Amino acid sequence: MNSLSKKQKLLLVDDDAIFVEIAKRTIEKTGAVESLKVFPDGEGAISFLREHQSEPDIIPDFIFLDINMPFMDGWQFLDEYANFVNLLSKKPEIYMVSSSVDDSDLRRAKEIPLVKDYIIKPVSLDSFKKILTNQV
Amino acid sequence: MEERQDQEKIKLDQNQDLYRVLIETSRELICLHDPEGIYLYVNPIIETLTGFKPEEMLGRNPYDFIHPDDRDRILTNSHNPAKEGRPTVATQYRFLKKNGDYIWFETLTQPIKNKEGEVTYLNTTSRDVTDQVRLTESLQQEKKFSSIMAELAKVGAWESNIEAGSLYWSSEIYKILERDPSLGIDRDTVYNKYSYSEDIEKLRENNLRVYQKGETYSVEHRMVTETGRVIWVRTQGKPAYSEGRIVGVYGAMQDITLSKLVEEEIRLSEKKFSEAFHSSGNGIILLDKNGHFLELNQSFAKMIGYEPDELLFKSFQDVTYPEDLNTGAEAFRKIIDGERDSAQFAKRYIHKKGHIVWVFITGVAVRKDSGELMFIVSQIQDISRKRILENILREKNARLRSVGTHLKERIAQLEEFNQIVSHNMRSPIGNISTLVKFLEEAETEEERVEYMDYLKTTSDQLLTTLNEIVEVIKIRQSPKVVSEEILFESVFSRVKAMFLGQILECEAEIIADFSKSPSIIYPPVYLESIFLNLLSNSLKYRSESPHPVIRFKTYWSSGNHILEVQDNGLGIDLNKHGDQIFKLHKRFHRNTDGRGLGLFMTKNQIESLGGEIHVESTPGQGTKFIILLSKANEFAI
Repeated sequence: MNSLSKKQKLLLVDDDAIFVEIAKRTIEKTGAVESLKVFPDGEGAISFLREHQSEPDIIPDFIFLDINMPFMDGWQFLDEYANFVNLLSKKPEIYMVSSSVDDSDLRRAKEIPLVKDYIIKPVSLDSFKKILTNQV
Repeated sequence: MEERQDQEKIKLDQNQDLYRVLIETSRELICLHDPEGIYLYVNPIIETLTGFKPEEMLGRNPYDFIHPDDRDRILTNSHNPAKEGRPTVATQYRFLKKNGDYIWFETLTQPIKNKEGEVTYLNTTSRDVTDQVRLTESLQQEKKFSSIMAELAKVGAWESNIEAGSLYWSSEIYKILERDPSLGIDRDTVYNKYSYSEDIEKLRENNLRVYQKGETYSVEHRMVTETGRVIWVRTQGKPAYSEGRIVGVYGAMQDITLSKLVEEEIRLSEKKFSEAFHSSGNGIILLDKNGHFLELNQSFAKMIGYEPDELLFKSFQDVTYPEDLNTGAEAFRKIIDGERDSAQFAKRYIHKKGHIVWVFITGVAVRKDSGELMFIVSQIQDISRKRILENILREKNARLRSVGTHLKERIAQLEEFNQIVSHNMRSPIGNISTLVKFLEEAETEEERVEYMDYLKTTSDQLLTTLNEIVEVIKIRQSPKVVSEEILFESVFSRVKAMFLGQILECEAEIIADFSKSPSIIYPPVYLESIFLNLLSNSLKYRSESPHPVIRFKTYWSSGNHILEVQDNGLGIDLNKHGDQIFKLHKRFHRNTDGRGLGLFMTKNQIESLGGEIHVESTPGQGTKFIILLSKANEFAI
């Protein structure tokens, strides 16, 4: 795949401000990112995607989705997302990014076809690199 | 000569007058007939006897009056022989009276001949023998009946003349003892052949007493018949007197073998019943149709703590547990009315000592052939022990269910903690480890300061979360916090005072009604915390319009002590957030400062005391929390 040269657009949905800061820095270091958008909860992210569903230049290539968030958590985000995924002009790859090592969370994520993979926090630079360069 | 003739004539006339007088005043009916029987003369007594006047009879044929059944007899025995001049016999026959009845006559007919020996007249003399005939008839009837009765009752008569040593047996006694009547009988034969050896002495004694003291007797004893069968008889004896002296004994003998057998059978079956009745481990009672005890056995009396005699003056209602009086009443009525013959049901009696005895009753009606109820036999089985075991089992099952529920709660709690550890604790720890690495690799002082700041924030966050969790674990692990009776009102007014500023500021209306259940036994700190969190919650998520109204009330429902808190605030979309509302660090509204801790703590406090919290809500319309503070203890006695 001709992805090394390609700069990716990212959407990070997480309410943990510190983690967001850390992730920003790490992702920056991968050098593979063109833009990074952050939402502290699912609802904001859903609104954003719906608003730009027919603009492939704005729809991200990757979504990193936390599970535990106020208002709308990761699972609820996926339920909502599934309602309009067909209307999206581009389909982002979705990764659950959570600190939970709970088996039930892992299993639940695996059962959702929309979820590409489940990444356990903390996320290393290497992990981000692999995902962003599609070397997973 | 003439004189003599005259004298003779006078004499004759005198004689004729005498005969006329004799005939006309005779009590006997005297008639003169021609040879064919036609009345020529009838004396006046005819009127007394038959109601006919003599002149009514003259010229009539006697056969018109003689009962048709008797005509042949008259013709053969009287009329024909008399007509031919032969001797006749007195004949009895029925003669019609004027009123239609018949009179019995005994009539003798005599022919009257002329010089040539021809029968010219018939003379009859008749007597009224009606009474005699009736007597004879009834005697014959009586004789017939008494012989039938003797035969049916198997009663015979006997007489023993002690002085002469002779013995008389009536035919029935011969029949009873199967002896040929033509053989006759004597006393030695009776004693040697027909008496049952073990009973001879008894008979001798009785006969001796009659003879010596004139006492009558009636005794049941055995005899041996001609064919060797042993039979039971009842012999009665009375003294026979002659010239004031007792000369013998006479009496009757009856074969009572059959009734003796029946009697024996009844005695046996009564004995069997009585044994079954009295030695049964089950209670057995006989009730009359008013429900009174006719008879009852020791087992029944013992079952309910009485002596049998004490109960005979009571009815079953007197010892029945009042709530169960109707249980058997319907079945009892149906048995009395003949609608059914038996019934089975369980009910309670009250033991003399006051406790309850559970029994299972099977009642059966005993009726006469006419269908009339004689009594009800009831078998009563003590099933108290079974009931107790059933109750224990039921209680154990309930406890098991309760343990199961509790276990489920525990598992849910564990999962909850697992979630907390996964999300709320692993997350900052992960951040810390990354930040430490960043710090190590930091190239500028600026970077280092920035990472140190992040580290401090994260570690503070972690500490806070840890403290919260410790708090919850404390709640969970020490559910036996001290409870005391507290008034809802007093706790509530204290909590309300804490929020006074906020309430005034947003012009909230707080309505509290604890009248239906003013107090509870509960840990005061928890109740305060519950009130505090719910009030704070309602105030925090109030809507701007209309003005906030928050209602608190307590009441009992289905054995649960309930606290209800309702507001008209923002409400929560339960479809979206239903399973998360009581979780740690969850918030459902933007622009609020909630940390998602209050409801989590509240839920843990309530559940640690065995309660439940439920929520109903509609976005934009408000929220209602229903809290089951405590349940009525199902095992409480």
